[in-house]
Amino acid sequence: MSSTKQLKRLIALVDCNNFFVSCERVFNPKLEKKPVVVLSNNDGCVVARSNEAKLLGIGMGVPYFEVEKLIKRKGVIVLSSNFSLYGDMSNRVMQTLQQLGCDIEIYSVDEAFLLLPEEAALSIARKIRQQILKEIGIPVSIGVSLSKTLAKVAGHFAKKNLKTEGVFALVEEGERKKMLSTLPVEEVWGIGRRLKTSLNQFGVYTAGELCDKEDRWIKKHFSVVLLRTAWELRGKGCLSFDEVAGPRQSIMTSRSFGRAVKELSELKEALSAYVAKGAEKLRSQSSLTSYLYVFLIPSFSEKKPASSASFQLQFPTDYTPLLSEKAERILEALFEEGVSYKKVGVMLGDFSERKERQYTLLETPALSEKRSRVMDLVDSINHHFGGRTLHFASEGVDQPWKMRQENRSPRFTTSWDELLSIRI
Amino acid sequence: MNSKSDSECALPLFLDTIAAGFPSPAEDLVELSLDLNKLMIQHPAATFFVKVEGRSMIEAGIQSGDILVVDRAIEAVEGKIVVAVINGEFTVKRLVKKEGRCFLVPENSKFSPVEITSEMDFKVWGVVTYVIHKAT
Repeated sequence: MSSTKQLKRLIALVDCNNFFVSCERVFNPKLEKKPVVVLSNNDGCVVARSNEAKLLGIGMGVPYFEVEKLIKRKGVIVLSSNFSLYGDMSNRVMQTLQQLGCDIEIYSVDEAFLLLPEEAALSIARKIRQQILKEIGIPVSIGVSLSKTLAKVAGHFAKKNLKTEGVFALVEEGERKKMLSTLPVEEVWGIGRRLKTSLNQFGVYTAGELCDKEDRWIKKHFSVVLLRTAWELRGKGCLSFDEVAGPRQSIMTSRSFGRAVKELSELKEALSAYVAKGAEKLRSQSSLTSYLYVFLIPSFSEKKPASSASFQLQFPTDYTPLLSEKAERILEALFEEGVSYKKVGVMLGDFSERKERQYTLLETPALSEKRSRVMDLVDSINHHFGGRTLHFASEGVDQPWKMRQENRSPRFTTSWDELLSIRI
Repeated sequence: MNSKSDSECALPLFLDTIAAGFPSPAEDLVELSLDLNKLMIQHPAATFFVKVEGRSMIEAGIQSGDILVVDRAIEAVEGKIVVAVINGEFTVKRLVKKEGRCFLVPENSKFSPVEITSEMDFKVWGVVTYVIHKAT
């Protein structure tokens, strides 16, 4: 690029509202405006609630038996998780975001960070919200700011405040200071209960108070990690577009080239490197992947759209040579002779835990149903993500109050036998 | 590139893209055979399939048991056959405007049109682009 002026960009967090419930509502509009909860298969805990259910006092992650009476009394609708549906709807949202052409980082099944040009960020965000609502039926909230941590703050505000109409930009310094001065420190991304208690002991109760502390003080009493959070809160984006807090649900690795690339061999080299890097991160969180997504973006002057394709592996793996080989084959299919490209990338998805037994199509997946972690949504979603898993019955009825899967809605988008049926 | 002889590579690329909702491979794959996805699906992320039962749209070529390809990204303008939701119920009818009023019109003389009024909880869910009818 010959231009020396740096294009200023803001970070947007796109976050689906009550994602599981929203997915159910697309295919069952009768659920709108009603209290609805979705239960996890494994533990019979509440893993999603509509706003109406939240207002009734049903908390996130509570065991079903604790709220059974309340649910029956208030006529709350209870559904079993339909991960095939949620995974597919998530794909649709992420694909729509990816087609915008800006840098994107898929953070979880229902969240993604985007880099938007500063000038038009708010109007782009509004268009995104409208588009996803119309085309997929999922309402999203979008927070725009100078860093990921602040984008999360803005997104949270966008979600809670109806006046924002789902989109909120937190950029101006005065506004930021004001908002952070009343934000409890434990509501900041990356600050959990333990940190909160320690911070409170030092008299730091709000995000604003944390920002005001000197760098030296933060490093001395806490860590570099908290210092980064403080910088992010102050408006300095330091979590790069590959860094998050916690294990990822997908790993995207890509870079824009310094110059246009035309040779397939060069593209392959770059892609290999990205696959290797992604696989490294995969192993560092003890995950295996069975889903590869490769995309190729032509230079702007070519006036051609980006192309991409995916590949579902039969067995989950973290073996770099195998992933590289598959990625290369996809690249070969996407490559067009004579075209200049500016970017190639790979996303690894559909994670499963390395310690789990690998399964074949002939035997029933032996997922560890006896997980104690209530919020183990990630693994559950990943197992169903590709829609390839056989539908397995819950293992053993440990508790008499455990919900059976018969309250699961049909797999409207991943099973030909379970399509939405309309009487006309 | 031997993608034709390598069935492990060619098929999942297509079948998966319907199931997972990701875009179909690039248009420049001239060697691969005709793909129904390319023909019928313009906006993969916004395209859904629904099954219909009943005879109210017979004259539009929609028979009971058919599968409809529904695109939510297309503008629901007059004349289009749409999937709509009225007071929480799904229906499939043609959108027609007459003298400033909106109607959902069946394609079967035995059924009557329904006027869309402001009191109704009405919304268009998507536009029907293709009808899949099993011949045998």
